[in-house]
Order: sequence, then structure tokens, then C-alpha cells
Amino acid sequence: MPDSRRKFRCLLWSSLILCIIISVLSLCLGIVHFSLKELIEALFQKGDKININILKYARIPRTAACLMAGAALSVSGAVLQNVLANKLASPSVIGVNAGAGLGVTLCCSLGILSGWAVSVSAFLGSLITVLLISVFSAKTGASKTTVILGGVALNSMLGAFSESITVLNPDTVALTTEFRVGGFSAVSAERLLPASILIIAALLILFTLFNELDILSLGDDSAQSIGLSTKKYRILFLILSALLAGSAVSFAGLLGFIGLIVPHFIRKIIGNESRYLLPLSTIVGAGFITLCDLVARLIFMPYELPVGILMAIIGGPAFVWLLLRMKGGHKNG
Amino acid sequence: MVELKNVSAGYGKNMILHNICFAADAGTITTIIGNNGCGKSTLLKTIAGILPATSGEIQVNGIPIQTLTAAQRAKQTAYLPQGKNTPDITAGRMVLHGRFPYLSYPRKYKKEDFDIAKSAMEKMGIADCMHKPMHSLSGGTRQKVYIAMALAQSTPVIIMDEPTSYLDIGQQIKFSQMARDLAQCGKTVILVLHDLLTALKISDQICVMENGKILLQDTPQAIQNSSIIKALFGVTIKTVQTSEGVQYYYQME
Repeated sequence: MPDSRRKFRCLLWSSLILCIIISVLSLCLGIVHFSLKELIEALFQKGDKININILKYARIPRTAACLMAGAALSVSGAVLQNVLANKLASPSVIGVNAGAGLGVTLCCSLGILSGWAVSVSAFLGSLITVLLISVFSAKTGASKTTVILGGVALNSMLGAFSESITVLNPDTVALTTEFRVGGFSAVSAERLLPASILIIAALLILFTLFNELDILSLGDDSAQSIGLSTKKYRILFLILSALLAGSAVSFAGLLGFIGLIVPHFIRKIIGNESRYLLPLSTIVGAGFITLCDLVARLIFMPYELPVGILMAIIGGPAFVWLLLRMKGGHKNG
Repeated sequence: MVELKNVSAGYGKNMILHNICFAADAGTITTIIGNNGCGKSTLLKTIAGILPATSGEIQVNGIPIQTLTAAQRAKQTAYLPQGKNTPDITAGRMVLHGRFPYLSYPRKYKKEDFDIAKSAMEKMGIADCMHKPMHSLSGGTRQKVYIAMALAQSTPVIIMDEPTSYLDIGQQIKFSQMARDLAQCGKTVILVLHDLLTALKISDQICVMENGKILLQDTPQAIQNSSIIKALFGVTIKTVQTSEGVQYYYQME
């Protein structure tokens, strides 16, 4: 067995075990702490009724939301980086999250606060953004830096539209501070369920397309010469990454940096092959955001810090580190 | 066998190829030569079906390539482009992707694919690079990885644009022998080469291009004897008989 595969299996199992431990901690810890025994009893609908309700209506939806959002945003970032051939691409940097945010804001301004309509409008917002960026990069032959700058400009513009809607329509409840920075304190099963179905479907499709994603990075001529329809697959990958980011934003708000940090962290450890990158991004992203959320709700207990704030505190320096590393002459940056 | 009948092609409104008629037989090496920007690479892309022809017909082994899907086309023609990315994957995985057109559900390469990829790497002398990342390899070795990927495609037609670029002289000679071996296996080999001496030495047929048109398509002997090389490149090519056969050399005037 090649070293890389052995390393992958080792990382996969260790990150999976860690992710499970973090998830159990996320279910147990909070304003009310459960012991492992109490948790198991509550999961099987036994023991204290209050514990059962806390678990059912708060902890399980919240932990599931963290896992879903982490997996979706990390994989979305990894896919965008490959498709746009740009290591700085991520849903929060190039405006995909902001597009989804605008979709959610528009939906909320119409009085629709949960269900499929929110997920679908978030998806459409992110899809339109991602298509705009890809058309911009293809039509102008823009450099990697220009694509990022264009995305940043789009990000600001979409954010401004969302703010304007909120100002003009004060009843819009989407743009709470927690939505702007991302957080899970108000997550509900009604909003989580449709988004989760979309996220799981997109991940399952992506997990059958590892080879296609790698071949796309060979460049159009080489990819087409071995039979990949590059235009078709580029659009498919953009749709799937928009679906992931949009669905995550619909219940988690505008979480930043996760789509940038996690794929880069994985790339550094195991390399860029999608068959390793995507599964590990899924698990590490899910575990990382769940851990951040756990810390964010425990650190100033009984007050909660929106997880997005903690992510930005971690993500900011990580982004700078990435820029410095690239400036240091990393070849394929 | 590859046949082009009155093919025109280009990028948007910028037409590069004009009414090209071209044929390359199975079991032969056909080399396309011409000045920079004359349309050689565009012609190769058009033959490979990557650039659609705006008019005319392209047949590969009697099948019009316009009627084939991308995967079906890739089972007929392997194409090594001139400009290539260096993806951050291992050389072994890269060559294995040459088997992509044969991939079916559940989208996993089979043992047969791994064996063919390994054999292609051995043929190119890069089997020891199997687990090395592409960006850690030299330009010449990367080129060999790309050639191995084209070989792994196992197609009856192999099209290569400047395959000897980045290769040292020893590797260039080995490449010439490999191209000859491929032709002897019955494959149609179509190359673009800037080195006229190599082109004359290894080709069964040479196609001379200028301004998107084919000026002459004939045997190396006939091309050398014509005045076309001097007219296009400003050099004369002479021959000398050696114990290893005819050798070509430039004579500047």
C-alpha cells in the first residue's frame, strides 16, 4: 500500500474519532452539563424529561448544524479552489456566502423564515455569485489575483444589498449580528432539515467525482484530451459548491474562513489529490466548527459568543499566514 | 488513420486554419513543421477534437470525430498539448488519469488500469517517480509523465505537440525511437516538431504549414529536395551517409 494511502487512512480514522469525541462533548456540555450516562439515557428517551428536551430541541440540532455547516463549507472551499485554480478562493472570500446571505435576507424580508424556500433562495444566491465569478474569470482571462479581487468586490456589493434590505425593511430578521458573523444558537430543525438534505446529496455526488476534479486541474487542453468535458464539469462543480455553501449559510449565517483554512490545512498534510482532500475536509471541517462552537458557548458561560467571531479570530491570522507563505515563493501559489 | 477534408477552424471570429486537407496513415509518423504561429498547434487540437472545426470533416479510423462523445474521442486519439499545467498530484496518479476515458461506475480505476499506467511509466523510464508529486519533478521528467499519460490512453492515434521540449538530447533520441516503436505497433503518430533534422529523420511523412494552410505534404526526401525548407526557414538541409544511415545537417547561407 503506498505511503500516501496509509497516511490517509490513519488521518481519516483519527479525525473521525476526534470528530465523534467533539460531537459527544458538544451534546454533553453547555449551561446544563450531562454526564455520558445521562446523555445515553436522554438519547433513548429515558431519565429526566428536561434533559431529553434540551437534547432534542437544542443540543442535537445545534451539533448536527455544526457538523453539516463545517463539512459543507470546507468541501465547498476545496472544490472552489480546484475549479477556479486559485488557492485563495473560498465561499466567504469571493462572495458566495454573501450571495447566499442576500438570498436568505430576501426570503426573510418576504416573511419566510424556515423550510425549503430559505435553503433554495440561499442556494440560488450563492449559485448566481459563483457563476458571475466564473464568467468574469473566463471572459476576461483574469489572473488569479484579479479573480479574488473581483470576488471581494462582489462580496462587499452583495453585503451592501443585504444591509440595504434590512434598513428599508426593519422587519427582516435575517441580518441579526449572529447571522452576519455566523452562529448556531438560533438554529432550528425546520431550517436545518432541508439544508442538510441538500448538503448530503451534494457531498455524495462530489464523492463520486474525485477523478474529474483532479483532471480539471490539469488545464482545459489536457483534461479534454483524456475525455473530460471541461465546461460541463466546471459548471457542475460550481453548482455543487454553491449548493454546499448556500445550504450552510441558510442556517449558520455568514461563517467566514472555514472554507479557506480547513482545505489548506489538509492540503499541507496529505497533498492535493481530491480522493484524500474531500473526505478529510468533510470530517475535519465538521469537527473543527463543532469544537469552535463548543468553545464559543463555554468560554463566557452563561453568555455565548457567536461562533463566527471565534472563527474570524482564528481565521484572520491563518489567512495572513497563508499569504505570507505564498509570498515566500511557494511554487504553485 | 486520420483524414481531414476541407477543414477550417479557429478561435471565435479569428480563423486560423483554412480548408485543410490532410491524411496520416496507421503505422506511420507524420510530422507537421512550419514557422511560429502558422497554425500547427491549432491543427493538432482540431484533429484531437478539442477545437471544433467550423467546416469540413475529420475522420479517425473512418469515424467522423464530430459524432463522438468526449470519452469516445479520447479512446481514439491521445493528445499531448504544448502548454501544460503542473497539478499537485503524484506522477503515478497523473499517468493513471490517462485511463480516464475507460472509467465506468463506480468511478474507480481497475487493476488493469494500474497495470497499463505502470507499464507506460516503465516505458518512459519514470517508474521510480510513481509516488513523487508532479511539482517536485524536473521539466524533462514532467514531460515524460505527460507522454506516459498519453501512452496509457492506449489509443490508435497519438498526437503530440512539441513532445521533445524539456528533454535532454539523450532523451530526445530515446523519444524518437519510442515514436518509431509506436508506429510499428500500427499506431498513427502525428507530431509537431521544431527540430527539422529530427523531423526528417524519424518521419514517414512531413506536412509543411504556412498561414493556416498546408503548403506541401510529402516524404522527408521529397521535402528536403524541394526548395520549401529554404523558403520558409532560410536554411538548407544537407545529408551525409554514415554507418548508421543517412544523417541530416543544416547549412546556413
